[in-house]
Amino acid sequence: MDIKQYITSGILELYVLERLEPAEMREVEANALQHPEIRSEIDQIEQVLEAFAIAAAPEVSPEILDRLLKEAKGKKAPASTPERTADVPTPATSSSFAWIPWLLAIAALAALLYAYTQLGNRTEELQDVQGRLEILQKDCDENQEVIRAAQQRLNEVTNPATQGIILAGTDNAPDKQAIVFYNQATNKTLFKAVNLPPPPAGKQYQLWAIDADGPKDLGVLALDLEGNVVLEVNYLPAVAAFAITLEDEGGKPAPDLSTLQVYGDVAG
Amino acid sequence: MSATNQLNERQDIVLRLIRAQDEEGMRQLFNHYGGALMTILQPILPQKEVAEEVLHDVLMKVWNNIESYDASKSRFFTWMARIARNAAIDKTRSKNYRKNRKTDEIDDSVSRRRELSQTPSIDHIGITAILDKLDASHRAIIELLYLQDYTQSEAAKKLELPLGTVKTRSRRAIMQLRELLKHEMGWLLIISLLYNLFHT
Repeated sequence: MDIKQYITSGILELYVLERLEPAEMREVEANALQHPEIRSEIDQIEQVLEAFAIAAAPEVSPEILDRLLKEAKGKKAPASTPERTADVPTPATSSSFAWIPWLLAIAALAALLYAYTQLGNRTEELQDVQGRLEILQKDCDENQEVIRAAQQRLNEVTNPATQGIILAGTDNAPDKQAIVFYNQATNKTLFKAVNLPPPPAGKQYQLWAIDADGPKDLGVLALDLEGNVVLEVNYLPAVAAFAITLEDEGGKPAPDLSTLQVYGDVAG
Repeated sequence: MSATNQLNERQDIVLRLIRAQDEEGMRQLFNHYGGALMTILQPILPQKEVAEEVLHDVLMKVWNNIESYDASKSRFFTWMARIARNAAIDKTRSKNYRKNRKTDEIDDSVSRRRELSQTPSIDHIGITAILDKLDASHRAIIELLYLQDYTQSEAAKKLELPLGTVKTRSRRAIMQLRELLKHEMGWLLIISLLYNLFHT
């Protein structure tokens, strides 16, 4: 007999389901006794149907058990046997499956909570990163602007039409120095303090452009002016010389030439 | 430990207790197999009270006739399921039952059979939840041969299949059910372990 074919034919399933003719039933039983594989396959099929019945089990009214226990007791009351202490370590069938939805619900809830907190964390992280990105973006824009401005200054300064006029220290302040970039083609005047130490208290540097009519006020220099800053100042045409005096804070309409600090002529 | 071991262990312990006629055996018989036997009874006896009444009789019969169970022939549950199915069918044939049924549903057993393929009388959620996962052709086989008392040729006629096909389809149906339940049995195992954890 081809046992494999016999097993796969489906006859064993029908045997377990009791859907064979009595003669066939006996035949299967005889074969099962002879071949352990068949016996084992039958046991497998029985287990599937048993597991199905257990898995699909509905709740049963507990009063049935009360009645059963009463009747069983009334019939026979044996002395407590050792088995009695051997509590079966398996759960009640129906209740065990009634737990499944609960267990699943709890698991789902836990998963949801976890996901929620994870989401919260991620959102926070995202916001943090976004904040930092924004700051960097701003920095970057600012730097871009600084570079652009510096590039423009450089272009202005290196323009062939720009004259670089060094304002050299006078006898009042031999070490002081500044520079003016004067361009009569683009009508621009730039100023940079090269060495102008902070003025004494109550005093302020004032820049002058001197033309044919005399000195013209170009404004006072900020008290905290830094040495490396290139300032754009008012443009005046036909300037002959630039000078800085040390005036009272706020500046004067006309220079006190006795306080002349630096001075430079505009070349021809 | 596997689901198979779990089923076997349960079976062995309950058998030992019942053979000793220990009251705990009755409690465990009811707890472990009562619901499963209702799976067999309810499709045939849709009225819950009637099915439970028969369950009571079946469990009493198991308790009183444990010596007639032959472990070399079948599993314990298979034996009980057969007793239960026969008891349920006997019940549907009893005068009393038919008289009662007639008053509320006329010729129920006939209408029940006719409707089986569309709306089976198997309305218990646990059963339908599992059966719904089976292929339709497999589902019909399980319903007719396991949950109803159709013979092989009745099922063949009902499903318009050759007799031989019922056989092979039974195998495929149970194979699919087995795959499906591997999962369920995994749960059973986990829950059993949890239960043990809390009860020891």
